[in-house]
Amino acid sequence: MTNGQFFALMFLAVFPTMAMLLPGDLVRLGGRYGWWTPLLAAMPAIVAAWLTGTLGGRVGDSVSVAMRGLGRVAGRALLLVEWLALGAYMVVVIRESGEISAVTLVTANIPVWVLTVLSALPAALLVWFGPVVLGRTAILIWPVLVFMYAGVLAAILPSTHLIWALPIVPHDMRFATWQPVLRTWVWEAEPTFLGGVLMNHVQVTARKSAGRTLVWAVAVSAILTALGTWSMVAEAGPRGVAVGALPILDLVNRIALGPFVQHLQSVVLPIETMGTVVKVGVFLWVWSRLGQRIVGGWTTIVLVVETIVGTSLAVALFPSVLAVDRATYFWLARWALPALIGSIVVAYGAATIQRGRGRT
Amino acid sequence: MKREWGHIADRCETVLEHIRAVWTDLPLDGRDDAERLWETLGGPPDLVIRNIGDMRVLYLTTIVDHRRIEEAVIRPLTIGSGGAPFPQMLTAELSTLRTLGDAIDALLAAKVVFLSQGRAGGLAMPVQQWPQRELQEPPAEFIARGPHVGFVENLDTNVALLRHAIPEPSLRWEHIAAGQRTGTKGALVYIDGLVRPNLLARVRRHLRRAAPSFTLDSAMLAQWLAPRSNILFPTIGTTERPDRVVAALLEGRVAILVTGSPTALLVPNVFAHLLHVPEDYYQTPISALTNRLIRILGLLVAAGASPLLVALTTINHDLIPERLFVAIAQARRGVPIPIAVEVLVLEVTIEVIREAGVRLPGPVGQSVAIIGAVVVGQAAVMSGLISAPAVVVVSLAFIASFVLPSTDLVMTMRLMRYPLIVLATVFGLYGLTWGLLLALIYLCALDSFGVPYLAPVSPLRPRGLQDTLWRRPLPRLRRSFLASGAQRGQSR
Repeated sequence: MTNGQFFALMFLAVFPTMAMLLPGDLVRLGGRYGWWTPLLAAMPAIVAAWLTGTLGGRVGDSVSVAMRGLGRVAGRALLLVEWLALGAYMVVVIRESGEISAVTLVTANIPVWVLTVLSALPAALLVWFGPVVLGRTAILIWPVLVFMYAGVLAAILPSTHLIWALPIVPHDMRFATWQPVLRTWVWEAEPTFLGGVLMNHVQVTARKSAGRTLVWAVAVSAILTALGTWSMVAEAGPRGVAVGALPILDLVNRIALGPFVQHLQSVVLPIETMGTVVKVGVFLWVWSRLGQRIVGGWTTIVLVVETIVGTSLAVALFPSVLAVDRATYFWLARWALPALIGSIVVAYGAATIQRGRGRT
Repeated sequence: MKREWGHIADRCETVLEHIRAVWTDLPLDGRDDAERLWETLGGPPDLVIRNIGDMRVLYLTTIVDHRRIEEAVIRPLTIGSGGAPFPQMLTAELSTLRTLGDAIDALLAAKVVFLSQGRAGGLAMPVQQWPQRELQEPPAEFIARGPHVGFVENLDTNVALLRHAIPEPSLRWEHIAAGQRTGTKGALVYIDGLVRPNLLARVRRHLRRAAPSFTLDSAMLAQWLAPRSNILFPTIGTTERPDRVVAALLEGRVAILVTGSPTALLVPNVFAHLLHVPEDYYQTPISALTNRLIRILGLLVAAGASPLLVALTTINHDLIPERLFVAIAQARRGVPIPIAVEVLVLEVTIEVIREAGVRLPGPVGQSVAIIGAVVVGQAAVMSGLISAPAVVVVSLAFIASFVLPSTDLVMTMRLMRYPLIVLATVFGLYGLTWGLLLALIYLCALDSFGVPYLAPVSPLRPRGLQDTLWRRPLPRLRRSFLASGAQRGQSR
């Protein structure tokens, strides 16, 4: 896998859902300056990504390090914690992808569970083909997604009202409070724990610069989301953005270049859907890899079982979009994210201590 | 004149001495060889056995060149060294036979077999005369500019065409077996130093593993060589044009020719190759770019136009401009069947008309196509059975598929349309997206002889982008991303 593919995977693991779901929340919580939050939250996320990437490239991923530093039993227990936390993430991500499809592309009366299953199936196929195919697919989708996003932002420029988005320098600091920053971390921390595992199980061509690649993935996602949120505020005003479920969709809907070039969501959303599926694929791959390490093999069976379990839980646990929203900020932000970061810290900490003992 | 005859007589003497020298080495217990050959072959009526002195001359009269037999075999043997012309090829092309099997192979390969009464072993000399057509431009790969010549069914002629285009010692070719039962021979052609050694080894391995019992055309061998998991996209390129093969060889690819087939196989074959034609290199880069963009547009229209119409008019009405939607709705007023069924019926109908047009003789086929497309289509729209927008879109998709240079890809696009229409009917644009994503994943997972199918775009090979969509001007075109590193820096 080339570094470009690795970047594409990490970028798609963050951006498609973050750009779609986060701006509304940020403006709701942080007001007109909510667009600053992705940039602010990116700083610690970048440090974490760089550390994981660099340590992973030199010492090994958190999974193998945990087994080495803590021994088989304690190492597996730590992996189990990591697996459960990532599973929670995974379930929410699968459900989000189904929800995005339901809200954006499917107007017919098709149950969300069908769309959720349909989103998980190509992701499972991607995982079955392996990370190299995941990478090849990602490198085709991410530039198109960025191009589309940039095109949308450029297309709404004529209809923006700068008065709503200026001044640039914030007057109040609501955007920097704990809640919006923590919510942003839910997304921006993803390359840290996904990339750390992925890069050590795939032959990344420039493994030593993997830390830098992870940093780029977080930084580019954060900058694009910030730009997007700012444009949304400038176009619809802070209130307009705050009331919309998916403000980017509203933004795309409002683009009209003459009487014929309109309804551009038919062009934008298929790419967005493809990006979301790749995101689910990355999560599913890492989750199944963790599962295989815990049970010690059974590659295909673990993948099939985890796909079925993840999709079933996604359908059963979240009957509505509100439930997904709640889960994101209660399960993920308060439990899964700290558990994942904590297990990585414990794994590398134990490995460092053991190394120190070995030297003495 | 006298001097010339003397010279020829000397040569004949030398040849006869050569034959005698070879034969003296053979054992002397082959008295019934000719009869055994006749029996083994089942007493074929075209097997001729002539006794000339102590020599027995055998050949299959249906496949040999009688004039050459007369001039190069019969006359020298009957007249001896008395002065008749004795062609040089007799010495140059003689091969020894040790077993009965060798003799049978030689006979079936249109060689004349020499056996001696009372001596084992034999000699063979090629005197074949296969029916062969003239060199002409392949009708399926017609180009306006460039060489108007195509391969024929004769392997030697095809190799000669390549040798003529690349008179270089680095052009290598080796014999391959392409049919166990039929004994069909083929040729593996490459340019030494440009082809990657691991690619060559892989192709040889595939050829060894492929064991077709018979090969009537190279397309049959291609099925043995292609990965079994691939059922949709062509991972082996085909062409009847020598210039295309030459370009491929210069890219570091390998060509496979088969006796009896005018179609060469090219490996590896990535997706980008399916959108290229030789004419791209005879035009300016900007013309080539325009044509390639049109082909990509054709590809998208061929695969997606009909399903998109179904998705947008069945489920995602809100995604098309109102005026367009109203126009389609008005045109469909009174049509008794849903648009999905309408599109499917039209797709099948157009395929039936196409197949009928192909099977029927030229003028009749054209008439059927015109009657089917224009008369029946017009009547169906006027009677309100189908709507004009559906006819327009399905016809457009059908025509667009012929923009693609690869007939295999045309077929793939046609086949892809049906599941996409079904998905679009059920899930709208989401279904279409889902189907295209599956196709994309499948393409990403494919490779052709170790080269990723979507290379040089995915995985990204910057050097390959010089000739994927935009072709750099020829003087600036560097070696292909498929070529061996040994030739780094050489222009293509």
